[in-house]
Amino acid sequence: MQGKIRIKDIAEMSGVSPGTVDRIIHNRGRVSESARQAVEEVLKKVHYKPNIHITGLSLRRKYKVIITTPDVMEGEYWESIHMGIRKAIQVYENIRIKCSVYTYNQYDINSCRRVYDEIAEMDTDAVIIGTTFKEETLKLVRKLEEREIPYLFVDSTVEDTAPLAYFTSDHYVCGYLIARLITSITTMGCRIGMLQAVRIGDESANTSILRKKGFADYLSEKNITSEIVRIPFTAMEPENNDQQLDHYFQGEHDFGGVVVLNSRGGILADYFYRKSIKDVRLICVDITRPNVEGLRNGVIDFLIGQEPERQGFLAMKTLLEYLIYRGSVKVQNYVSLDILTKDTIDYYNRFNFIS
Amino acid sequence: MHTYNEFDVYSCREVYDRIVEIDADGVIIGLTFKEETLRLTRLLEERGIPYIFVDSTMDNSSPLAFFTSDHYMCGYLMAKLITSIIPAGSDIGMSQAVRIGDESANTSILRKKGFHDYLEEKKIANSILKIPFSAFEPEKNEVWMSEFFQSKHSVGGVVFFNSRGGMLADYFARNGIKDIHLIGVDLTVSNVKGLREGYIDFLIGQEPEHQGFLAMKTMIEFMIYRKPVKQRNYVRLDILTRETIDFYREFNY
Repeated sequence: MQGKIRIKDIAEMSGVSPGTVDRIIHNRGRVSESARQAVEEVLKKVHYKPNIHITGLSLRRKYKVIITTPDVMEGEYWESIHMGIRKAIQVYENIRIKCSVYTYNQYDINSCRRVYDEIAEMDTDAVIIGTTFKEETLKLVRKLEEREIPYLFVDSTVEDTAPLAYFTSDHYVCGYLIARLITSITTMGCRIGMLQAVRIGDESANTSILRKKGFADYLSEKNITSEIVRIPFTAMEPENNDQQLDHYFQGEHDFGGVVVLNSRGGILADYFYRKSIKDVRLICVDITRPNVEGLRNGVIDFLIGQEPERQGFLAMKTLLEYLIYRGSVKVQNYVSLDILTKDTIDYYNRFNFIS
Repeated sequence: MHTYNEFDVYSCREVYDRIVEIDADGVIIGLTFKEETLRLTRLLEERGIPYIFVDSTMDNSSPLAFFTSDHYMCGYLMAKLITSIIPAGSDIGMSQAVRIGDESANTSILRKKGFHDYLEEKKIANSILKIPFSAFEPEKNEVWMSEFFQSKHSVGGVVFFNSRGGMLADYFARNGIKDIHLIGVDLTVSNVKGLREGYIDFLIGQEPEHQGFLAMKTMIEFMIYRKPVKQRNYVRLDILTRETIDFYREFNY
C-alpha cells in the first residue's frame, strides 16, 4: 500500500461508509459489530497507525494486564521496575488499562508456584513477568502459550520460551564485570567472599546463576586462582545474619573483597559499617536504598545498576503499543550496566530516558 | 554554527569577535578559554541576548542555563579509580595538553584540581609525571610518548584529562604495552576503540548528546514560552568498561 491511507480508502476496502470508519477510529457513537470487525481487519492489513496521543483504534477497549514479580518493598529493586511500569501507563494515559499485580516471595518457590497457578487460569490480555525460578516460569508460560496470551519478561529472560519481548541487563556480563572489578581493586591472591542467598526450595535464582557463571569464567580466563568463599545469608531470617557474618569477618580475617551478586548487598554494607570493617572491598548489584546508603558512606566501592525503571517502562510501553497496533516487536532488549561509585551516584538520573 | 580550534586561543578570539556582531536571539556556547568567554558573555549581556553553556560553566557569568558534568568530581573519580587499580607506589602519568596561547582549558583545570584533592585527602604520595601532548603536531606526540615510556619504567597508570586518551591507547597497542593502566574521558571513536581492545581500563562519559539536546530544548522553550528555566543542570558521569560499552546508549533519553 503506497502513500497515506485515508478514511475513504478504508471505507472502500471494508465496504462500509466513511462515517462508520470515522466512528470506529474515533470511538464515537454506535456501529454494528460486523462493521467494526470488517474495518478493524482492514486497518490491521494496511498497518494503519493513528496518533497514539490523540486517538486510537482500539482505545475503546479496556485491556487487562497482569504483572507478576517478586514482592515489592519500598526502596528495593522491584519497586523500581513497578515505577517504570506506572510511568508508561501515565505517559499513555489515553489507553484504558486495568493492571493487576500478583507478587510472590522470591525466596520461596512454593509461594511462586501458588501465584503462577492462579495466573494461569485468569482472563487477561497479556502478562508481564519478573522471573525468579526457571522451572516454574516455564510451566506458566507453556499454559499462556496454549491460551495464546502474550507475555513479556522484565529483569531476566528464560530459555525455551517465546516472549513477545524481554527487557533485561546481560547478567552473564554483569558477573564477568564484577569479577574484573573486584580482582583489579584487591591485592592478588587474597580471598574473595561471595554472599549467597539461601532460598526455600533450594533453587538459585535465574539471574544469580548467570552472574556466577560470568564471574567464574572471568577468573578462569585470566588464570586467577583466588579462593572464592561462599557466605550464606537468609533474607527470611535477618536476625541471624549478624551472627553468620561474625563467623567470617570478626577479628582476624583474610578477605580482600566481597561481591554480592543479588540486590541484598546492603545487608553486608550495613554490617561492615556498624562493625567499622574498612579493609574489605565490596561490590554490589542494584540501586536499592540500602545499597545506595552503603555506597554513600564508603563501604561499597562499586554498585552495578541495571536500569530497572527503564526496563519496566519499556516493557509496558512495548506491550501497550502491541495491544493497539499489533505491529512487530523487537524481542531482545538489553539495558545498560551502569557502574556507580560514591562520586557519581548523585548525578545518576534514573529517569533520564524521559527527557 | 561557529566553531573554533580548542587548542588555539587566537582562533577562539576571532570567532567570538565575529559572534558579538551577529544579530541573534540566543547563543549556545561550548567554552574552552575562560577569559575569552567572559569577554563574549559581557557583550551578550549588554545586548540582552540570552546564552546557554554546554560542556562546562564559568564563574562570574549569568547564563540562562548550563548543562555540564561535574568536572571536579570527574577528576576526583579518576584519581580514585587509577589509584585503586595500579600497584601501590607506582608512578602516575598525567596528560598535559599544549595549547597555542598557553592557556589551559576550563574543564582540565577543574579535573586536575579534583584529582589532586583526592590524592591529598587520602594521603596518596605516588609521583605524578606530566606527559605533554599536542593536538596539532601529532608527530611530536610520538616522540614525547617514546621518550616518556622508555625513560620512566615505574609508571603504573596514566590519566588523560581531555578526550584524547585514545592516542595513547593506540601507542600502547602499536608498542605492545599491556601493563600500564589507562583512564580516559569521553566516548570518542578512538577512546572507544582503546576501551574495546583492552588498552583503556575505564572511560568516563558525560552524556554530551543529552547536554546538547537539553540545551537546545531549553533555549527553544524559553524563546517560545518565556517560562522560568532551571539554571544549573548536571548530567551524569558514566563509568564505562569494555564489558559495558556495548550496552551503553548515547541517546538514552
